[in-house]
Amino acid sequence: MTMLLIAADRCTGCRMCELVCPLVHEGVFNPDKSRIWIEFEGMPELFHPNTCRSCGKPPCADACPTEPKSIYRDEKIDGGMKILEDVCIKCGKCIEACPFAAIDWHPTKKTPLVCDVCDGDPECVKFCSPNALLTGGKSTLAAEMRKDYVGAQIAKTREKILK
Amino acid sequence: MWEYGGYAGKFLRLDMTNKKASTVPLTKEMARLHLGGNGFGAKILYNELKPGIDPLGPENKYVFASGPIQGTMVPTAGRSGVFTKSPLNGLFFDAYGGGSFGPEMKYAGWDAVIVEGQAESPTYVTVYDDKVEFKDASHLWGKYTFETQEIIKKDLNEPKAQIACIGPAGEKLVRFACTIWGARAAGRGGNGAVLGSKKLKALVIRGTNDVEVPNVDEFLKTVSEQYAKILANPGTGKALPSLGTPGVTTVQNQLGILGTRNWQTEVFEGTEKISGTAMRERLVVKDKGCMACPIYCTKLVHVKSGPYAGTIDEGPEYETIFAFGSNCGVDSLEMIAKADRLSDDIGVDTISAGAVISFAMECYEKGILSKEEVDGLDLKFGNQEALIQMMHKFGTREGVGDLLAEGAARAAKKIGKGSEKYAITIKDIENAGHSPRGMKGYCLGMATSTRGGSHQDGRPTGERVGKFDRKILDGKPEYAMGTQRTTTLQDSMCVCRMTEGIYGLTEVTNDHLNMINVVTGMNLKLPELVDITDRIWNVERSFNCREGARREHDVQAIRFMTEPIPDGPSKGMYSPKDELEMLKDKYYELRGWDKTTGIPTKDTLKRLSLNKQAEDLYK
Repeated sequence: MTMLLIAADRCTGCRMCELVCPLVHEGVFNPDKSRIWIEFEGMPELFHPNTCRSCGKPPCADACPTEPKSIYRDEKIDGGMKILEDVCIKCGKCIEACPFAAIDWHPTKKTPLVCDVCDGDPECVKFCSPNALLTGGKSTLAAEMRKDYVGAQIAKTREKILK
Repeated sequence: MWEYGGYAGKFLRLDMTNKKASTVPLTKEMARLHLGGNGFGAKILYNELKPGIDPLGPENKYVFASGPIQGTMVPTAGRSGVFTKSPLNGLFFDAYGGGSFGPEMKYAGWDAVIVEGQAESPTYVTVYDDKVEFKDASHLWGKYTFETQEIIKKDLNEPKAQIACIGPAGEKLVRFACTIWGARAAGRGGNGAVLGSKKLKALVIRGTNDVEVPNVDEFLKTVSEQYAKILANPGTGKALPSLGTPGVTTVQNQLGILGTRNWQTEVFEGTEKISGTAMRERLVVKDKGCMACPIYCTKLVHVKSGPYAGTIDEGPEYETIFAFGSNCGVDSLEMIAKADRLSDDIGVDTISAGAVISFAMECYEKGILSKEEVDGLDLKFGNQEALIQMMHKFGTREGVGDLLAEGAARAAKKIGKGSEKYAITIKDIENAGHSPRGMKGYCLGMATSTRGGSHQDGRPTGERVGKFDRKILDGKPEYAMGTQRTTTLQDSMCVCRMTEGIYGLTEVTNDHLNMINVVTGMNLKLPELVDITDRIWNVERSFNCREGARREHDVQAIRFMTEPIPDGPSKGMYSPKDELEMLKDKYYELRGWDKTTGIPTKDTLKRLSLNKQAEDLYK
């Protein structure tokens, strides 16, 4: 099972993922063609990474009107979405259906731009220095999130004891 | 891809007087000889500025430039530079900032943007790929930089736009005003005043083009190796991600080289209260990285209590902690964060702002400036409230703010009464937070550098970390030239100074070379790359010599040449003039500069294919 998982609190907003993603998929640097991106807001900017959640029951595929579905979950690697570019009618229903706003529009191909977890070995994870991006199943994410949470709790307890 | 990888292949020229945009093609020769960033800025300004022009007049130009790596994922590629004739000293000046502005400029299809002329009324310019528009900015004039950016993004409905802008200080031609994009600053040298004189409130850029490299596999291999080195290095992999540059504060104090109370001494009793550790524990709420940077040295801070409660600030960096902290006798990180945020908002360089205030504080304490002359403020060292009030005066030029907005050197000339020796400036640029008295190589490096009081050409790192003995003179001319070569190269690529320990502190290395070659495909050889750095350095030097700068200008601040450090671990150290002159002899010899005048010799210029410079300087 290989999904791309995000421990968002660790993200530093460096956009390295936005750079390597289009490089390995299309051989160019262009954040507009990235399947993962950081949303920035306010001043000073705060930020949050976003990408496909590899939903077990993907609403984007449910919404796709073509037959066969031109956006579908890659069951072989149990994570990531695949696009049938020849079948896709470019209607944008999948974008509408995604509850996480994690599907964008490819600026030149005009097809859905969605994470395929690099067929099981996501490149962005290799360049995420704060370890905000992880691979594994959702249980891996749960364990990582627990690490941050439990770690903080233990630190608080230690502080209390030492006081 | 253009002829070489990484580049966009063209410059954008913005004529503010006639509100016209035009394209200048980048030539292969320009890329091969001057590389990018610093190299482009120096070459453009040397060729296009007439000597003797007023930095704040219509004839000065302002260049935004990136190097070949901007837009790629070479670590720290978020950086880019701005170049202009400085309103502080009338010499060439370059300043750099992180964030995402440089890459966005590249995605828009421009390696550089040259701003020239002067608009009649406040203007901002939008660049959406090759579509350029000049717009009325009267509703933005007077606004702080953060608000300016928020308004523009909302008005244009372009959340992804990158915006370089000035604050009220730039508009009021404060001579140490800076350019801000995001919360990053191209801080030094007064470039913000130049934009203010052109009435360019903001340059808004959004780009959608690809940036390409010749061979993706080779590129990824080299970048992966570099990336692994950065993570494995104790500085870039651990210290900077956890504490950021403020981690240095404690080290400086332990060595007795932390500028304190306008450099009257170099040990600060309140260091622990303003250390990187204290900041991490009390104020840091989030780590942040510039684009393409794995080091994330930026610390987002939130002041939760006390008189500055509610302050949210990106930073402060070490330099800011020194400038508003130890050097103004202040031991409150909360006030430093407030002053830092105000600097960004008003649009002033934190180093010079702090230095100008510390200068005024010493003049006040020594009775040279009376209470009336400083608008009734009790401007003693350590008076936080007075410091914050002074900051506001930089944005308005009210009262004493008008005098001090001219920078420490000019203010001292106006004040007289011996105040010159309290203006801690080198080539009229306020000294940054590193000690020329306590580091012999750094001292020479900055005295002979184009930028004077900046810590970005002479470099303190090698001596501070103990790789070189900071107290001895042996090998220091070589050290000074070596560090200047690496800084010039870093600024031309442009990578961040935080990677200097990875690429090489004191020499041009194969790491520099390989990175440039995998990005561009230029297939340069190491000696060629060394020549590129020397060429760029000599273009800058020629620019300054053409303005009248000579050997006698390559000196330190008066205090550093005459007063030994009075106490602490570096007690007794200083830089007597004759010692500096002796080191300069050797340095000029290494550089191929005339020992009497300090001008590059004709042979040196010709060897570096700088024929125009040779003609101009040897008419």
